[in-house]
Amino acid sequence: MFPAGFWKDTEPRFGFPVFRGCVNRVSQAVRLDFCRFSWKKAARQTLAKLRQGRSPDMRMFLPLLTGRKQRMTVRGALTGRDGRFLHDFGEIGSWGAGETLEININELCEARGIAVDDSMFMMIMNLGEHTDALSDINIFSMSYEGDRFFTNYRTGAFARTLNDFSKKKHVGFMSINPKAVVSESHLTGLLLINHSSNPEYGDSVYPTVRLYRPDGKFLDADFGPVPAFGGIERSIEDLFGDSVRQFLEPSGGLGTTVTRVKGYTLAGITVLRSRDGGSMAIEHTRPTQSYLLNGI
Amino acid sequence: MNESAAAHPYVIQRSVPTLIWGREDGSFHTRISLFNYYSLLVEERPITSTAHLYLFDESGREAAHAVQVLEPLGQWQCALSSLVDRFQGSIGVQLVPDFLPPLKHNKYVGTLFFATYWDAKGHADFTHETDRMRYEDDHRLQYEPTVIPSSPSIDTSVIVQNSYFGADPSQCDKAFHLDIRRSDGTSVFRKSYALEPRASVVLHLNELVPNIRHLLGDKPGSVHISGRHINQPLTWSRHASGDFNIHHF
Repeated sequence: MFPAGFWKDTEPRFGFPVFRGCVNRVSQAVRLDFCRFSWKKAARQTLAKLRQGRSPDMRMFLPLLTGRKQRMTVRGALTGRDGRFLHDFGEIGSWGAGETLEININELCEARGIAVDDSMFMMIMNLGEHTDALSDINIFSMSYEGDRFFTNYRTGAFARTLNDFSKKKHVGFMSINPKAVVSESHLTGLLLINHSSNPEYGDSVYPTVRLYRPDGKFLDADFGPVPAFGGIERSIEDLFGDSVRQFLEPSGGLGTTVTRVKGYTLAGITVLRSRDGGSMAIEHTRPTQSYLLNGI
Repeated sequence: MNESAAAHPYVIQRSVPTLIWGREDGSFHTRISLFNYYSLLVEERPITSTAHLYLFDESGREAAHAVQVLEPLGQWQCALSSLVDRFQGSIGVQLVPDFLPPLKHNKYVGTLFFATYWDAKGHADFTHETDRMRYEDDHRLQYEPTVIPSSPSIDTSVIVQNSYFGADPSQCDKAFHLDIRRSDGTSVFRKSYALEPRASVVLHLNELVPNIRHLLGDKPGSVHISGRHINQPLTWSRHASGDFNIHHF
């Protein structure tokens, strides 16, 4: 849980895992057209808001009147993997169109005497007067570099309502991961993040995981609690026991996990590690139903 | 999507292939992982789906087309080595259910899947699919920037794929533009390229700009790619340890 009012509804944000034993970085190439606002764009957004029956945010006209170039100001905070609030880094910097930001989380922590451990980093972006410029924010790269591995995943920030039940109810979360591996050399882990748009959110969630073999046979497991703002990682062997290797043997160690929880939404990440520590791969999961609901 | 759009190559009913990049040879492998998720999403009845996997080599030639029927809750773990000995290029994947509930949009329906890559030394990586195949009626400009990491242990390449799969090649805009910038946004290298429909290319940044690390200093840089018929580009990052990462911009 974060202190009340830790971010504004209009400030895009997202959390990502920090791993001990490697250099953790978050970076972004700020788009060349970041906050390139025009009277045409302002008029279009005003009309769109009016059509939705909402009032346009008149502050978006300020940069047009003043000629000021908006920069993206970034703040950061650290929680434990259990969601416990640990540290507010405050403002880290600001970047404008065409510039590149790269934040070394290890250096941030070490400068404040914080040991780099498995934890969660929350990035919060302030767009000043351009509160409607969320779509101008490029996605972020989270990279993890050790002596023997390098991996990276990319995802975007959001300002939509998540796990804030006074404003919105969720049907539930379902994440389909068809690339689970349990072999002599590699092991997949599932990392679930219980995020919210409400800094004071405090619910733990209790997902379930089903592991399918290509012939349709499956195993069930409880994932265990994921505390608010926490990020819990469990390997396929943690979830299903050592015998899961025999279960997946007929399919060469390959299977699909389906993770579900009712009434909440989560962020899902898959981690693939070689057992000898020589490789690590990470990727977020995708909302499968999106193609059906929204098309492409 | 209108009636004529449904007649575009590779479009089956409402389903359009989504794309990723792959490589297969003696030392590098790719696997496509796909689950018949329609059988979880559609409650009206059990769903059997037909999966199509298409390979297009770097010149854009269709190198393979494999089909697999997925029973309800079935999955396809398709190693490219089962289809080709050597390959580098674009991969299209399409899941076609035998029943689709009424949809509230008139767009295409894409396919969610993942690609896993591994080498002979045990380094492995995976990524989700990117954009869909594009056609005559789709001329939006795509602009994608991404970071060149500051770490001196990482060499970055970019993978660019032409996303035009329409019937009339003259409708394809082959041009794309690449721009490499310092962390302060100043440009150090710009070049325009042409890619045939369905073709792809791997561009090694340290070959385009041999002194790129010196030019960027100890800071990160950025690479910006734009074009009308490009798929979401990918970075291929090679670490000094031998580990690697392939991911969309």
